[in-house]
Amino acid sequence: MSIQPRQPIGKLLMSLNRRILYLILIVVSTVPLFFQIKVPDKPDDSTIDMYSKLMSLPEGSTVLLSTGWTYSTRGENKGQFDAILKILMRRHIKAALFSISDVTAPKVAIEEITELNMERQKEGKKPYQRWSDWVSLGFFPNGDGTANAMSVSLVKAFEGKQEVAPNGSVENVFNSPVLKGHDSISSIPLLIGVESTSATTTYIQKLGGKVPIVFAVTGVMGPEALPYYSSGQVSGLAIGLKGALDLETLMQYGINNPGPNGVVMVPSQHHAGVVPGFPNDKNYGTGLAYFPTLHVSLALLILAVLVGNIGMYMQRRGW
Amino acid sequence: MILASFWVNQSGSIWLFVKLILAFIVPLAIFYGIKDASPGVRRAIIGATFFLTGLVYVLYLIWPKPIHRQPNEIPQNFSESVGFFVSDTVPVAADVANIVATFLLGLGVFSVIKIHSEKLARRHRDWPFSLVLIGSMLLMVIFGYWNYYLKNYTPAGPSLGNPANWTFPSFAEDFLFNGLYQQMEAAMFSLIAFFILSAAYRAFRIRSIEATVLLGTALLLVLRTMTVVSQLWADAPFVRDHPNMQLESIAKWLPNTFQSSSIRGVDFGVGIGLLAMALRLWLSLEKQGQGA
Repeated sequence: MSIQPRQPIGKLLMSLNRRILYLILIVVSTVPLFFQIKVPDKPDDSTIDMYSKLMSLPEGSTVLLSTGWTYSTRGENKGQFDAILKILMRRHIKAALFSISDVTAPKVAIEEITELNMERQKEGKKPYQRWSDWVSLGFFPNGDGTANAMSVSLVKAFEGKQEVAPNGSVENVFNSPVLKGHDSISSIPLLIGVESTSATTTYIQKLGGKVPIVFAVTGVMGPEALPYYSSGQVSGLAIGLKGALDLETLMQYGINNPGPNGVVMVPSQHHAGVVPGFPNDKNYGTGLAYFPTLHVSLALLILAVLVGNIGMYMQRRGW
Repeated sequence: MILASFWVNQSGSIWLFVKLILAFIVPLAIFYGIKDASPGVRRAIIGATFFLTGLVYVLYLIWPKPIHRQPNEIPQNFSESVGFFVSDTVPVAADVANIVATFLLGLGVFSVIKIHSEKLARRHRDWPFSLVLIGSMLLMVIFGYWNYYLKNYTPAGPSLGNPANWTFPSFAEDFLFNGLYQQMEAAMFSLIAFFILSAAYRAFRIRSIEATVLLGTALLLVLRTMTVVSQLWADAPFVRDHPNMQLESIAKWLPNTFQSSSIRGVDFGVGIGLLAMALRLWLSLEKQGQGA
């Protein structure tokens, strides 16, 4: 009987079976979802700017809400979208929903509004009504051309778009309380983009300077959008899952806003002045729910890189 | 004057009908003209179309735009006439481009049906997958339009926004779209996590100075995202006395200093390349594909 020589530790560390790695990832990313873990959060300046911009909108005004996400980026965009919608709903701000990124995005957004409305109804609040509070303008496959047209005239850009009015008749969206009187982009106080694509660049190119813009983007798209924030072309920016959690934290505590015990939970030197939160409402959602998973997954990623490199080092030394 | 009112016609007016008929006939004539024309004439037609459509956007960019234009305002001079015309043309061009792009979706559907029905009819390898694909597509179309019709063209439509009032088509559409399609899309995307972990373990090795710098930078940004670590770091004695050493400050400095400037540089290069390419296409200097 021959005895197998023991493998050097270096080689062992470098040749972990990928199935084991995958299994660890599944366990590590799933387990935190079963527990409500509150992770500390200090909101980024860019998200603070976005929140203060949303909170400074006049009540009853109308924003353009560009939605460019589907379930593929649900982990990040859903939390951002929900947080933005909650702010709009609570502040009675109307929204015109549209997409230049993905054909299914408006439908996903409508489903999301339905879900939030059910939550509101459970809490005894008035639902965010289609036609009177929001309208869907649909998907525009030619984003560049549509954004150019929006810069000329909103009426012409969205000409022919219809919605069902409460009396059951199909009417032009510009007869709705949401878009009535909003012929020009200059009458809109804010364009909000929740995007997983480079539609952000399109908006900056075609509508920059004509309307204030804020973006909520995926972590991957963050570096592309960040130069526009630092140059002041974008008034606020929420990036990735951290951006979603930041918005939820800001909704809970506000900015420089003393809580009931007098403690300011989110102090900011970047933003002067106090912006209130919504402490009596349900603010936390998928941002907080998914953040522990992101934590442990990133820790696993660091561990994997370390193990691989230690293995390489040991193998070079012949250990 | 004619220029300024070219796109503006009263509903039901004779000019609107004339223009509608022309809008139908002219593209058809161009289409058949291109089909039967010699390569030289074809190139000229395509070149002229490119130039004219591009000219609209070039003029939109450089021509003075009307300010505070009233709905029935009449232009005072040639400059205003062109400005009005271009401003009115841009939304029409966007509509045309949206319609053409939508036709591309239709073309995609046609192509999928053609390829997979052939595969199905001839019992090619993996034909059951084609059957599933065509079946799924048909089901989605049937229930999608059925539900759309109920929502928009029946008295019960407005109440269907609430799931409590849903009927069979709404449930079926919800099951197909949210229950299957969206979940499969999410599942496909989530595979990236496995690839990233595997790649991080196998490929992210400190073999050179560049790789070490990259790894160090990535590590700092990842640690910053982990707010628990970020907070523990901030509470460390040395860091408490030196706020610039906080992970948050470092993670802010890195993107603002290196990442944004690099991306701006790349974007600038891409922009110049796009401008050169657009000019070549606009002026028909790019010959490739035009004779086809």
